[in-house]
Amino acid sequence: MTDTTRFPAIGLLLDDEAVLEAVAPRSTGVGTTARAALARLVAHGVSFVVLGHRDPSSPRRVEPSVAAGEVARLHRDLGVVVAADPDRDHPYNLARRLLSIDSLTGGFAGLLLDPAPVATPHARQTHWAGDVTRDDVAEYADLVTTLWGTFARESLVGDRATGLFARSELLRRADHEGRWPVRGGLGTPSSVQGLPPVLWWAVDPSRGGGDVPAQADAAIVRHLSQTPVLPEYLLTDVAGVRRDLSTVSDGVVVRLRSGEWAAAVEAVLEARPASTAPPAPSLRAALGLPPRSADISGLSPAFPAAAPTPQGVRS
Amino acid sequence: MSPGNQLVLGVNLQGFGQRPAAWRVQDVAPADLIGPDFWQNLGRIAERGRLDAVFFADNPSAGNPNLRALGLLEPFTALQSIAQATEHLGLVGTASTTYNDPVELAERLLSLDLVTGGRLAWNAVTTYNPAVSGNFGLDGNPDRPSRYARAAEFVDVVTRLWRSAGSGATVDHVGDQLEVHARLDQPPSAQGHPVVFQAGGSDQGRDLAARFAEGVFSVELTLDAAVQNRLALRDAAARIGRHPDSVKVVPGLSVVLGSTEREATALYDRLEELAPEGYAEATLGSYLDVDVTTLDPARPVPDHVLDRTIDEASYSKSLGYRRTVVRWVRENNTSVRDLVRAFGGYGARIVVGTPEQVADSIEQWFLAGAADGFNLMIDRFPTGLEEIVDHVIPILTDRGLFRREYGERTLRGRFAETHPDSPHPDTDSVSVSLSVSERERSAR
Repeated sequence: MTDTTRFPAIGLLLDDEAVLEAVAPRSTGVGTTARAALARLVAHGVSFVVLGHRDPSSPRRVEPSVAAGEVARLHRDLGVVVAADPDRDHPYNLARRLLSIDSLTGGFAGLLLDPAPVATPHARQTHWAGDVTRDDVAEYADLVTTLWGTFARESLVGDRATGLFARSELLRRADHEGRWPVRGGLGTPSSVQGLPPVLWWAVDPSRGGGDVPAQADAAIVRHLSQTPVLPEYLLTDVAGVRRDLSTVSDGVVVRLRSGEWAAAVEAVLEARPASTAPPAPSLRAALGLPPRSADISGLSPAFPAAAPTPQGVRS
Repeated sequence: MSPGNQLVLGVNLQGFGQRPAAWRVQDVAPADLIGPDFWQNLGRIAERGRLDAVFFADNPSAGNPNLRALGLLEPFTALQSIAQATEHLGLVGTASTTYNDPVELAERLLSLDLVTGGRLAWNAVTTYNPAVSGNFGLDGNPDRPSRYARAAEFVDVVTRLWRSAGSGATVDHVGDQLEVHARLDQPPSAQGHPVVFQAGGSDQGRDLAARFAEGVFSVELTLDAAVQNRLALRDAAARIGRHPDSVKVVPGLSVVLGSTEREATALYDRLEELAPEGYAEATLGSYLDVDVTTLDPARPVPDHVLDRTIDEASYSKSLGYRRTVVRWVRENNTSVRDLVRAFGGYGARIVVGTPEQVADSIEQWFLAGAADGFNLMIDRFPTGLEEIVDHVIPILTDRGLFRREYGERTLRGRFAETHPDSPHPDTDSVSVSLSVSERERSAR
């Protein structure tokens, strides 16, 4: 599973206040320190950030998918892993938004799911919202990854002579049943990285974290060898970076709170020389994960094939 | 209109352009629509023309890309990318009040408004497209009264959450449609919070706009109707105590340009020829609820088609579009064949002509009080937008109708500049309006 020629991956799990420091508009004068620190961290091997995973006591200061768009702007090859709120964010909306970020970043988006996420406020009448179980979150992962495969990017043709824009017969309907029934597919073509990686929050085994579903590509763990099959990213704090980087094979996720930027730079620079390797072509590659595409074999076509006519194609 | 008034001009970013065949006459590839370069280039061109904003409609379902490739990216994500390549341009995105949660949406859009420096607007719509309900676990969309009742509470809740963001105060809303107890812990943006647009053309849509909207995307095909509808909206806003100028009415305007009228017409014809077969007929037919190909092409649309009564509550398409198109068909009492050809805006007014002719039409409608500006629906991107910016905008600027430089940095600040005498719309218009109407009641 792990490419032994690579250094272990380093990710940052930013708390909302730290994210806000990094993405504040330059005109506000905030964030210079955070942005400079992030640049040094990226130069020394930090290849992804995790956004939006909170503990119950920390307020939401910035919405994570928006934060992802801003962090990706700062560093072209830095992966952005967005923590979903499956108790509130409908999987169709989340899948579309995250795949859009993935498209705009050229394959550098990923998803983090926590089987026992911090509850988010919502309207009582939002019919899909409410408490979720570990199994619900596993279904969420299944549905989102299915949706990500419904519009194969290979279907895009763009033949100006015949007028065939896309091989529409390749598009699929999700036809998903369960907690979130979804009929159709996405209108966003699939990712250049196949499927954006799905990370599972396995830090708290007692809350369902140890039971990682098949849809996950990797797990964030507190202790190594929690998940015998999947790549593991050891959750560490800034002080533990040096120690933990020497023990892991897959990688660490460094929990970085507001005010810890300088300390994080010091810790990572001590543990890892400046990287001379070319940046990975996608988040999936940066995480050392094998290629993966959505399995759409059982799904029905969404549209008929376009029919050629003397004038061009007819749909 | 006082001489200081300025047009509001936006661009509706419809894939490769409003013409379905736009991609066939330019050197573009389908994947351009899902990368940042294409959109950021359009943003830069729009900003070069000092336009107010770019706009994305939305449809949370997959459409057949061979009919028209629209909405391949989620609108606000694409707008964020455009924001990163621009400094002044406003960013208007559509999100459904039917298929979002108000707290989630409020949180997300306020964050985007923060990072874009106060340039965001939300176009609040209800969803009538039948393909969407199945993606959200429903057999059909709620009927129109239910959708608009939810929309009114939804917009109210979102704007209250925004106004109290970062203050620690909780919004407690218990209504017929929504119950929300939440607060936003986020900082406000440079313009406080996003501007609100509204796009429904029905009576319920107008009421919603009068209460909450700072901009309205309307559908107008005839000058007289546009003047009447704008006046009705301004009156409705004034009745609840808002300054009429605090609501900008921005109809869609479809444009095909040429250096001569003949050249423009030739381009229009070429694009129509290359469009998917029957596209204009199908679009016209969908508004008239008839298969246009079954009508005699040499005769006008029969009265029984136009007089047909519809059940507004359950009507599954845009009521505003239908009304506008039916009125336009009656006023253009011409053959079905000619109607189809003239229906090139697919519901929006279309001008096919020279830059002077387009500028003349914009000026005429603006000075007649039919519009505060236009949401331009341009034949093909990026070429058509470059032509507008290079050839139409300078005419409007020379005539004193449009800005030479950006002034205020935020979108809301800029809207206030277009009517310098009106109060700054950042004031809490809703609470002001309540106190005014209560004063009126007590004075009676």
